[in-house]
Amino acid sequence: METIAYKCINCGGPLQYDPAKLKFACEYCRSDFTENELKAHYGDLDQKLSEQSQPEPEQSANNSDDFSMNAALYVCENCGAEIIADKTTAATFCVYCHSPVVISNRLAGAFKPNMVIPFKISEEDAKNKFKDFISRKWFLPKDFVSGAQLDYMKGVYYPYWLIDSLKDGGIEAAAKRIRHWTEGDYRYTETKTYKVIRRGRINFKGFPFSALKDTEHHKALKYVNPYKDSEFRPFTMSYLSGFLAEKRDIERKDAQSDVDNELKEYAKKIYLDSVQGYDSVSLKNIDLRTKKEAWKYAMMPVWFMNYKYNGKDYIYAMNGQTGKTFGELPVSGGKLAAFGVGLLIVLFLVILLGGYFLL
Amino acid sequence: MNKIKFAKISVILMTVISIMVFSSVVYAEGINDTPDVNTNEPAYSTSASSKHEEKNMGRIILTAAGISIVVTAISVFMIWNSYKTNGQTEPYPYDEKAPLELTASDDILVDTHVERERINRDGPPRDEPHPGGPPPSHR
Repeated sequence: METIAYKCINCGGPLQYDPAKLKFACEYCRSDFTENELKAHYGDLDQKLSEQSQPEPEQSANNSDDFSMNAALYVCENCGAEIIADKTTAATFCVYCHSPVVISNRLAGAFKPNMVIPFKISEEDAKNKFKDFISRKWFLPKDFVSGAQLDYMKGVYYPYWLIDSLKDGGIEAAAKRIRHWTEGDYRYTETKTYKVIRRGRINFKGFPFSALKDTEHHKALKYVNPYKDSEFRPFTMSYLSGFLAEKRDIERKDAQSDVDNELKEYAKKIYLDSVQGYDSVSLKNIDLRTKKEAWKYAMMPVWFMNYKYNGKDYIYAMNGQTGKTFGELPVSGGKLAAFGVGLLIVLFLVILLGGYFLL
Repeated sequence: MNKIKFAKISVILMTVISIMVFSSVVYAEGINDTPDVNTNEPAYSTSASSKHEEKNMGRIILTAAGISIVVTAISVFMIWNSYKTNGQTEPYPYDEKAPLELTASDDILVDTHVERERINRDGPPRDEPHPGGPPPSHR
């Protein structure tokens, strides 16, 4: 078993998870099904993935270019066409029949995610939110706001490590309390310097760390967080049907030092926040040890759009659960320049007239 | 408050402040520069006052241009910057998700330093009541 295409139990058409209905919908016969109904029909495919100790060997593309050497060939279950997928793709669409395909082989064994947050924002809502987002942005290039651009928005499940980490340690800081008073002809300033020590345990819960090496999207994948923990569900492949998905390419051992560094930075803020009642606090020393740690592998939903303007790539990302957005927007130089000139002239005239009549 | 709103409010505030500052500066300089008027001078002798008006107008134009350029440059930069970093808020709400359980807490006074500064040389020394803290100790 390498790929799975979930099909409608009634008519055999492709099934996709519908965030608006929170069910699996067939766009042909308009039927929809719950997760339990699919499991009853297909059997527990996810259990079979867990039982697989390692993924089956993949058939690689035969060309020698860089992409092909990291790509693999799969066969579409719906039409029999060959699908080329790069090394991290876990769910995609057949380029011929456009059926959603889950590459189950890439989610097997140790690569089976523990949890998933299903998409809560539908494609239509994502596009509407994006239109609201850009509606008041006067300095965007004209073609950025076109309908054609919105068609490039894709729903993608991205892999994250979620870390629960119990840390023990403390900080040493120098804090100052400053007091002023006046007596007679003199103003007095008293500065008291304290050595401040705080020790304690910090229990980090669900710290997210992107498990994809793709540095281009790394910032977007960081700042679309946070997700709401309450909506995590045990992973099932059927949620990926109708969306793109990426599998992780950063293992725990490779991510450990970056995670430790990020948690240390948060620990500094947390310990320093506990130092209250001073005018200034500066950190001198921190020590931190890990008492207990648990890593989970999760798939999180993101609506993603890439846009090219003046030869530069711009990324827009929306949290597929909460709607939080992150993106670098292109600025139309012409519009900004026109605004600048207009503002300059108006300000100049206003200040000139104001100064003239106030004299 | 989002960054675009912040940029708009900043522009309005800076414009108002600029007008106030500019007007006060020019007005103050106008007072200093006002020449003594000799009431015995004939009424048709206006060369000194017309030169003063040109000098003042020149100063007004220069100041207006300077303030406009500065405000415009800051506004344009703020708008450009807001487009570049849209949505870059805290990704991990550590105050909710990472509670701290303090096991030890110590604040040790290591130094006390008092400085005094004379503030009023004119007139007799004022006798202000002490705010009620410990008497100052000089190092």
